[in-house]
Amino acid sequence: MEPDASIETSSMIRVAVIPISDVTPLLFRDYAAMLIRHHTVSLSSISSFYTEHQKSPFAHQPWESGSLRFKFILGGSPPSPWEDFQSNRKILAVIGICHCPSAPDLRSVADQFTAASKTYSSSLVQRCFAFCPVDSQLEDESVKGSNLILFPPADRQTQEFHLQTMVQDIAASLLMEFEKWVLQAESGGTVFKTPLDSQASLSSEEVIKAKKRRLGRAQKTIGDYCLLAGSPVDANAHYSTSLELTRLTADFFWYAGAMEGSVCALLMDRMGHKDPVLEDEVKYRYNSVILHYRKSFIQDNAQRVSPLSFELEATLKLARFLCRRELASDVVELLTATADGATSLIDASDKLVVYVEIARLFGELGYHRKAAFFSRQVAQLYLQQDNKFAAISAMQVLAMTTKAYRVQSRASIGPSNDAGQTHADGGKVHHHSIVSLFESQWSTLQMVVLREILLSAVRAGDPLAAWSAAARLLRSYYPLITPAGQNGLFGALVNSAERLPLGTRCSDPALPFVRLHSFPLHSSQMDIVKRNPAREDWWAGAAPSGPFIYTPFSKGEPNNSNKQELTWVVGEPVQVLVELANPCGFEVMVESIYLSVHSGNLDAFPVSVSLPPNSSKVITLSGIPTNEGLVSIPGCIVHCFGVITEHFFKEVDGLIIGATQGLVLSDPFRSCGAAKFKNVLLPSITVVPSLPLLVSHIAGGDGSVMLYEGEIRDVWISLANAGTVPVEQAHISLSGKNQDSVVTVASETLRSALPLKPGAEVTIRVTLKAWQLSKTDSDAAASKGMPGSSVRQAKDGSSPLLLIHYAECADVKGNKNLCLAREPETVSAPPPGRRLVIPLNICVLQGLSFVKARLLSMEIPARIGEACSTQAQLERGNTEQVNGSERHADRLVKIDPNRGSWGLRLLELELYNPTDVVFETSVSVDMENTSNQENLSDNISAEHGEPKTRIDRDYTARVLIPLENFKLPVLDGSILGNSFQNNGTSGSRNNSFSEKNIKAELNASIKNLISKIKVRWQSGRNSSGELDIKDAIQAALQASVMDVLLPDPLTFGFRLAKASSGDINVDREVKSCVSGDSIIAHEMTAMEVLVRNNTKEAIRINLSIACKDVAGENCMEGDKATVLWEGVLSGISMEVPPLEEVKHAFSLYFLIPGEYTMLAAAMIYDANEVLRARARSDALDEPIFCRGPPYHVRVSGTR
Amino acid sequence: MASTACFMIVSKNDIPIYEAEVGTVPKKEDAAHQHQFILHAALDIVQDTAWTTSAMFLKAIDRFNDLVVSVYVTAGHILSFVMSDFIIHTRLMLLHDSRNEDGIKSFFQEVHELYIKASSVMFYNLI
Repeated sequence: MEPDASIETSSMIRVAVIPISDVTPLLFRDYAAMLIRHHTVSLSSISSFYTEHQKSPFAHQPWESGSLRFKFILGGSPPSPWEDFQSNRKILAVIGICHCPSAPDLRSVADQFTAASKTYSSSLVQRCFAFCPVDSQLEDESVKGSNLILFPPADRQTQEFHLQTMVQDIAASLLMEFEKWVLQAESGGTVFKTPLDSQASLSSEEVIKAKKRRLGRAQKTIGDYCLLAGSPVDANAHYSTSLELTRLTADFFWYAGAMEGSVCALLMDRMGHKDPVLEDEVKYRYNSVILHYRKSFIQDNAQRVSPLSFELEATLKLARFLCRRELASDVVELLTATADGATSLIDASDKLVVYVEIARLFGELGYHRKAAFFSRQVAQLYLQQDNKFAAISAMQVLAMTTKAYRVQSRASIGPSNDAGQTHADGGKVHHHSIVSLFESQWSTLQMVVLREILLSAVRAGDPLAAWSAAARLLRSYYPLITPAGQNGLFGALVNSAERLPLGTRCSDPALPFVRLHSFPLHSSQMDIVKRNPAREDWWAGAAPSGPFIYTPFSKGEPNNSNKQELTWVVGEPVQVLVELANPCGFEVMVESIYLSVHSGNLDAFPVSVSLPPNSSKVITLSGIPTNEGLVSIPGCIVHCFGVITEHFFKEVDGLIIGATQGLVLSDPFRSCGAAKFKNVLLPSITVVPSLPLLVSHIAGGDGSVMLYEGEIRDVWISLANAGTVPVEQAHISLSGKNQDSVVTVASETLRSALPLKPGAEVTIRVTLKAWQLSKTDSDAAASKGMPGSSVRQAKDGSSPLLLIHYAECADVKGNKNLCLAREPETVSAPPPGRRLVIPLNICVLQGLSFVKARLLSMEIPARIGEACSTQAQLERGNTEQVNGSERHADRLVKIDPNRGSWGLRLLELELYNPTDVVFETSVSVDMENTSNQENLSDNISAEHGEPKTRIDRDYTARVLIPLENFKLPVLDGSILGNSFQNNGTSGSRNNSFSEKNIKAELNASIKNLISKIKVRWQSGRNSSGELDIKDAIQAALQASVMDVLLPDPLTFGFRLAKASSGDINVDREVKSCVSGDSIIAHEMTAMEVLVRNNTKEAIRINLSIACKDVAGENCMEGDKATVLWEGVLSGISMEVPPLEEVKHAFSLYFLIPGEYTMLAAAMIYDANEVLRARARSDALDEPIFCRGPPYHVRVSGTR
Repeated sequence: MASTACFMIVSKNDIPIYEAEVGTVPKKEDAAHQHQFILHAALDIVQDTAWTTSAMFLKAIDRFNDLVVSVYVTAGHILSFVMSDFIIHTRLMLLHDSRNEDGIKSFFQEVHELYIKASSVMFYNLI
């Protein structure tokens, strides 16, 4: 039984090609390949070498179209016992191949060749080809005449031509030898025997039988030689004779042989043209051949030899001849019959050959599963032989079946074209590809095949193949393998790895399973923002370039998850999270795992990780981009079980998708308890050149700043450039909630520090003011009507964020030179900018809490005396009463220039201290507008040390705020304008001053007023701040805002007439006044009453003056009058021009020293609407009475 | 006499959806593998033969050693109204060593009936 048998085999001259002397296998193969090319030599080409010695027996040799065919058998083969039966089995020529440089002595080469060719007794022609001889060898005369043919060194073409000539020479020699042989055979009495014929003793009967059969057999053999000589017509003639003769002698075996030969002759004659008629003929004849081979079966020697192999060979030959898709059923029938017959073959190697041939034919037919099945049978036969070479063969054969069973090694599939690509189609893995990759349902077969590969690889001593098979088995079928089996595979992996050199790579990954988890937030610190070259302020509306679907900055922007883009920066470490899973029952030690970068512009850092049985782990893999451009990360390189493998994310994704669809066995991650599968797409990653990198550091720690409500504190933030490129442009902005709490940011400091060189640092000041916490239950009264707002302490989300956009080139457009110098191609697209996000973590604690506000009013009489001193004393007296504290506060309380006395209105705030520290509060009123010297800005008030109110913990205190200084200088109708219309319609008094109307007009005034009042506090924790009481004040002032803000239409004042030009309006002269100048009893004291019109229209009044003693009795009238007077004191009619003062002089004579009170009052005639509105009078004819404030007069007894 | 029989239902994409050793021969794991290998290989032949005949029962379509493969190809298009991407052909395959053709045929018919019942349930997705 021979491999590769076909019908045409009968016409092939078998030539042994053997290496002579030392020829390396590689060189031998190389030379042999050159030789094998000349397997067909046309008869026409050999005619020049051919000399007809005697008349050729091949009468019908087609010299024009015929050819001789060679079958080169590399390394030779032992003689076959069936040589007589089929002459083509004989080795008819021997060609030695020698490589001269390794065999210097040509003589010994010639001898060796002669010895070697002796073993081929049937050979008719011997030649030894010696390649590449050196000059000395070429000149060697000693080998002349031998079979040694030297091929002088030349180019390949010349050598091939030379070789072709030599082959033609051999062909011609063979042809002549065939002629000789045929002539001899025809005449001589050669006996043709086969192993089928009885060998031991020829009985007389046998001898006679043999003699009878000899002729037929001889004819058959001559026919064989005719075929070999390329003369089918001659062959056919001899075969026909033979068929007749063998049929007559019932020599079925030879009959079948002759029939086979005749078919071959038929085909040769047709020169390869096939037609249905021919096919039918061949089929018919071969069926007969098969039948006769079967007939020749002799029971006697069935144990020793059987024609079965010839029968099967003939079947295979026919199958090969018919092997076409259209005739598949015929071929299948033949092959199935062959497979059936193979079971009764005695020789194991025959069986092997049959199975190999069946597998090949099925493969040719496109029946890959059938082919794989028989290949596996072959492998099993090989495995039955217990030697290394058989195991290697088994392994190789099994490797061929892996495609049909879909357990291919990745190496056999070849480099995957799309391995480096990202999921361009949005991560869709096609159903079909999943099925083909993980067709788990034939898992039993797949596992068996892999196990057999593993077994054969171990036997063959191929540790890499063993490792690969074990890896595939473990990775794909771990759920079907028992823990013991898994451990066995683990052992196989480790054992194989021990035999492999360090750093061996294998294309098939084992464990662990690796999938992409996420790209971590490398930075709110390092965000990269694309710069819009068209805009100077590129940071405005710049979209974040991070990998996240949601960022607080892109809220509301449409997000296309398919278009994820990621920007990495050269030289800045990047991180990728991957999830590893070990679903097996043993611990997996990953010696190193790092990102596999096909684009080669990332230095990946390996990490080592250990995965306990049935566990999964998310690990961070990092690397540093080295060059700009696109980065593709299709997977990870894993060094595990002693071998380096590449794990592709895509494969695991496919596996997991397959698991969700029930197509594959199990999801390794889920079985390890990992989180649910989420399809992480590989974004397209671009590496950009180095960018500056600002790193922020908040002085005093990056923790949150604890602030009481309203507390003001400076925070120092130091910014350092940790990159390698200077920052040339920076812009600070705010984001997030509670942006109001950032009072100032020293952006100038940063701007002035630009460009910030690498390594440089700048510290900027940020002034924070803590916001108010939302109302708690204790403030329910204040926030009545509002639904109970939840108590919220400072949370992460409530703090503002400081955004610093910065970039390398200061000017996107203008500063092109700089960009050009760095990189010419970035002119159109400038290098991206970056954004640093500094969260200002403010934790607001509840501070002083406001309980309620109340408006108080009180009137404190002024004092008449020396004008200035009176004022001074008056002030002091007032303030003492106001808050009983030191006189420093005098400065706060000022006399109304338009009123003689102090009709004081105070805002009382009740504050509660719920904290555990002491608070001190101080009230300041910012009076910048009214007086340039009384500028109570922060600094001054601090210097002067305002009176402080101390509030202990858990105590309540009241703070008074004077409001009197906010009066408008003029009572103007415009302010009240709208209210007049309402007056007529609604009779209500209150309606005339409807707050609704006032609000609109006085809004600015009130705001102004409120903003001037500041309640500052200082806590025991050495922090200070401001109480936010705007709402409280507004609420308190709501009702009486008019009284507070609007002046009376008339103001009255008294003064001593003898006082010099001292104007009471000017109270700055307090210090120069001498306090000794007072009024003395029993002296005429000239006085003046001043009436000022605060309106814009003249007012006619009827003025009267009264004086009361301490008891409040009128002391100018009646019996016990103690004051005498001169001038008019009552019923004084006068007209006061708008915004002007009118004086009325009079004199008093006090009889008794003591305290007196002067009062001025006036009746206004013809009051206009403004006045009536102010007086809240709605009766048109009702007189309006206007009373001045009381003035105190101290009368001393003696001078 | 102990008999070998391995029954298998192969669905679309040549995926087996049911496999059972129904013979009386004591089970051996190696044999079970071998049976599956034979049936798997026979699919190549079924694939071609199914289109050459209108018969659903393809008797003894393939054999290896003493084991014979008989196949019953369901008319998939009749079932396809149930679901649009339904099976083209479902193949009921039996590997056996007995020659009781009629018995095998009636076995197949019975299984086919049950199979139709099972697969006609709308929500039953046979991969």
